[in-house]
Amino acid sequence: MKKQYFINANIIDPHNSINEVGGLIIDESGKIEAVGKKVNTNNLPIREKIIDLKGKYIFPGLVDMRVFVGEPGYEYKENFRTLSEAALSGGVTSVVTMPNTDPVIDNVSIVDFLKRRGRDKSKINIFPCASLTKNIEGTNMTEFGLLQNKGIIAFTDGIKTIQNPRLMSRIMNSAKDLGCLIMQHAEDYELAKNGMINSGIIATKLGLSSIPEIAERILIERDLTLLEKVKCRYHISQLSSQKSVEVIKYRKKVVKFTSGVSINNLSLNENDIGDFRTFLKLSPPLRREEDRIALVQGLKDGLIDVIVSDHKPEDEESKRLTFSQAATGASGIETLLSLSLELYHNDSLKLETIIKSLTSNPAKILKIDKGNLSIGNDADLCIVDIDKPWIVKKDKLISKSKNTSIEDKKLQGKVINTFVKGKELFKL
Amino acid sequence: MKKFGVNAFTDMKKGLKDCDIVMMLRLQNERMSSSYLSSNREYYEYYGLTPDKLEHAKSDALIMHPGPMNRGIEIDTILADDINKSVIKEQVELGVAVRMACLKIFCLK
Repeated sequence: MKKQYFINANIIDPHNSINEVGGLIIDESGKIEAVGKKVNTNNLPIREKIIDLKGKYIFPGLVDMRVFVGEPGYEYKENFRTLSEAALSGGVTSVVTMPNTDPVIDNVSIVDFLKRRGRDKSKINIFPCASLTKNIEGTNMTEFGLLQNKGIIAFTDGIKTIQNPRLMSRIMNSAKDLGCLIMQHAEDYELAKNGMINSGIIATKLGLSSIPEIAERILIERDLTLLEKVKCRYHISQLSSQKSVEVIKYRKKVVKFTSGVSINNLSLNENDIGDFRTFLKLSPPLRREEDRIALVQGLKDGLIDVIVSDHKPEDEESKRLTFSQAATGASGIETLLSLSLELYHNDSLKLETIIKSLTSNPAKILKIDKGNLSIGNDADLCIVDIDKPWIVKKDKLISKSKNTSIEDKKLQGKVINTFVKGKELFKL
Repeated sequence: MKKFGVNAFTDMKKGLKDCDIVMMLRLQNERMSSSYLSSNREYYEYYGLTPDKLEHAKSDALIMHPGPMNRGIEIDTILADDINKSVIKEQVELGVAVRMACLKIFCLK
């Protein structure tokens, strides 16, 4: 690999507190050799090919903490190859995959298979999660220690929630002993029974059964109470309501934990569901505009740590059904960054806050050396024109499944190039 | 545990440091209806007494176990039968005598 030189870029690397105009050098082995304002035309070899980025942005490659891949079992929805192509087009270079596959990622032998597939078929960094309970049944714990030794990054039941508080406390005990990260999808099943969208005027108008925000809050309260007693690494996968943000604000004073939010809940609200648009049937559901604003504020205040795409590829046959029959979730890894930039363009958030919650914060929670532009580290990064306008069209999406929640949306900001280990793997 | 004067460890190697005697206890499977453990093999990996974990105790440490043993769960079978380190057989044999003596004392009172 030849050395690569970039100059005149706006470089944002929250991990190293870099937010300046400068350049970046990738060495022959695909590592970052130099970064920042020191890198400019005055101190670069003249004969080399130098790429002038003319004010475009360089961000560390995004780390997406909540991604569903169809392998094994649902390869027709998404496989590692299509996932990595989709991710690269959105500037994502590391993903945490959910264990909700068929069979479920709950034992050591399947992790071997997964790692082999990830290595052979994927161009990005795959960090697989295993389930908290065997077959995601919510009854018996999986082998946290052995799975972690095999390279499992965190434990979660993905779209499912541990309902039994006794089991949850044992899970936390084990996680504490072994230093494992636990990620909970917070939803009380009894309160959310048969629910599809947020409780409120829209649900009443559409005549759909609903998921009240207390279904989320009560579970968060329960887990955080348990956490006070057993201090393990605990992460709430996705928050969706104003009340939940209030709870974590109060609890953060007492106990240490982290939380995330889906870009869908940051950008859309229940009104977008309109006339039964099943592509906006999500979990957690889209809630009121007040909730969306509170979530944005939560990010601003540093209460919420990460933004995730909650990328859940579903084929159209599973989505184009009546609301109650339609599958839950939206594809979103390709639009994660562009949609997040909307929050910058409409003055809701600082650019640095957005990039932090997409790169260094998730990496810190996962304890991985990704999502930064540190010298000597793999050159995983993306070059972004943050002003470039474009329109989301599902037939232009790369992911195998086209169930985007923002079809025809006008966005501003697009990834131009994505590099993994110094190799340019995506070019617009 | 602290109130009983016991130092508890979750890392067995740390807990075994400088021990004279290592007493293993039987995993009471019959009382384990609701998932205390993920699996026996993981329990063995982390909390079963194995030669490499025993190296952290004193070099002449004795191994004890009140029996019956679950070999390959709380104790490695080679260690259980190691006549130089294990006093399990003697412990079980003498345990019968001690119980007999206790019963006799209490019954005569």
